[in-house]
Amino acid sequence: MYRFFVLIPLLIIGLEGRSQETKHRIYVGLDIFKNIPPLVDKQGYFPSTLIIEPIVRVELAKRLFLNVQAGYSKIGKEVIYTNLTHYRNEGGYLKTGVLYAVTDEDIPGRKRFGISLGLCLTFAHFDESGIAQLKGAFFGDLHKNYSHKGLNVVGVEVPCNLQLRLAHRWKLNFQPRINLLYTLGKKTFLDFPVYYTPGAGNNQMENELLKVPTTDITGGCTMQLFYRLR
Amino acid sequence: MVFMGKYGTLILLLLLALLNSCIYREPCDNTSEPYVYLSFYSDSLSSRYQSVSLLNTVHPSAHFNLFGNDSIPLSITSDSTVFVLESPTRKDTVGIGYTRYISYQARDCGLVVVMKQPRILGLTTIPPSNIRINVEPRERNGLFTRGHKTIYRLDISF
Repeated sequence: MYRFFVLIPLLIIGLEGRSQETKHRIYVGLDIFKNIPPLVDKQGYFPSTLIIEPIVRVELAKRLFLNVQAGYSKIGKEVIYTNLTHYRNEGGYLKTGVLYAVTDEDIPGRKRFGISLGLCLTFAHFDESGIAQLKGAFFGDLHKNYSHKGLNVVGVEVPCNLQLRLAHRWKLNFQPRINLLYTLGKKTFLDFPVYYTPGAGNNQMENELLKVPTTDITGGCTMQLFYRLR
Repeated sequence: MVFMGKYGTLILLLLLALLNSCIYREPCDNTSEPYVYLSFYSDSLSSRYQSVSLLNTVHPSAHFNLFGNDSIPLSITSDSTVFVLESPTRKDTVGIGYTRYISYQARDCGLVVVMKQPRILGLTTIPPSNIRINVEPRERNGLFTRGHKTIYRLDISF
């Protein structure tokens, strides 16, 4: 009987230890970079910015993670093109996909630096507005309000995560990414392409590279802070 | 790049995507007003138009001498532009109507006004058989050519 009472706790401890090894890791994270540049440089990229982007990562199999991000973005800039001012963009987005850890940083006693590659599907639903101000030397200037609500953009994102384990449960993730975007439905009534897609960034290469008005390649980089729940 | 090993190529591609500002872009114009070419066909030197005056302008001097191969701006604030052609022996009013669209030109230049469905207005004093609007060859595919705002040529015979 005595041996039984000694063995039971040891068995529980042993099982707990084994379950710890096989437990699928879960991380929660938050983007900590996107709101910083506007605070530092008021005249820069997007002077008024509020972006909230929580992230959940669940380990599906060894080194394979499910990645889910949902975000809210509200940005503004006084001049985006030489003749389109008072630009505002507000909306939400969802990214979901898988990440594969090429090197795993979250193994105690081993490396603190890891790399993972991913493939995510993205969807953004947002509104854009601004004022077109076209100069006319002889007949005067043309001012026209531009507003388009309910824009939908789908896309594919390829992130590359460079991860650094900071402490037992904390890690920092530097993430460069490439996005391929497609604007659903008609273009805006002003007949110009989407300028900014929440969650993806500036639609920068339209016309210059792809020659397809509704398709874009964009890229960016950000920094995320993760906490390991289990 | 060396320390990244086989991931170097991927990171290089990511950086290339970010450095897209190296793409060449045509210079932008200071004004958004498109132009229309004027082409005159006449056997009579004495009746040749010598000047043109734009009506309803905000510019103080909207009067130009004509040299035979000229262009005049079109209004982007209304759906028509009216101008008066003058010669020593005659004076004609010409009105061009169109439908305006604001369109994206290029990232650096932003938006432009594109005129479509051009037509001669009824106030025109030149007989309809003597005036005709032609689309410039480079616009015939229906697409706006970036960096070029001249869209139409007005052929006038007298």
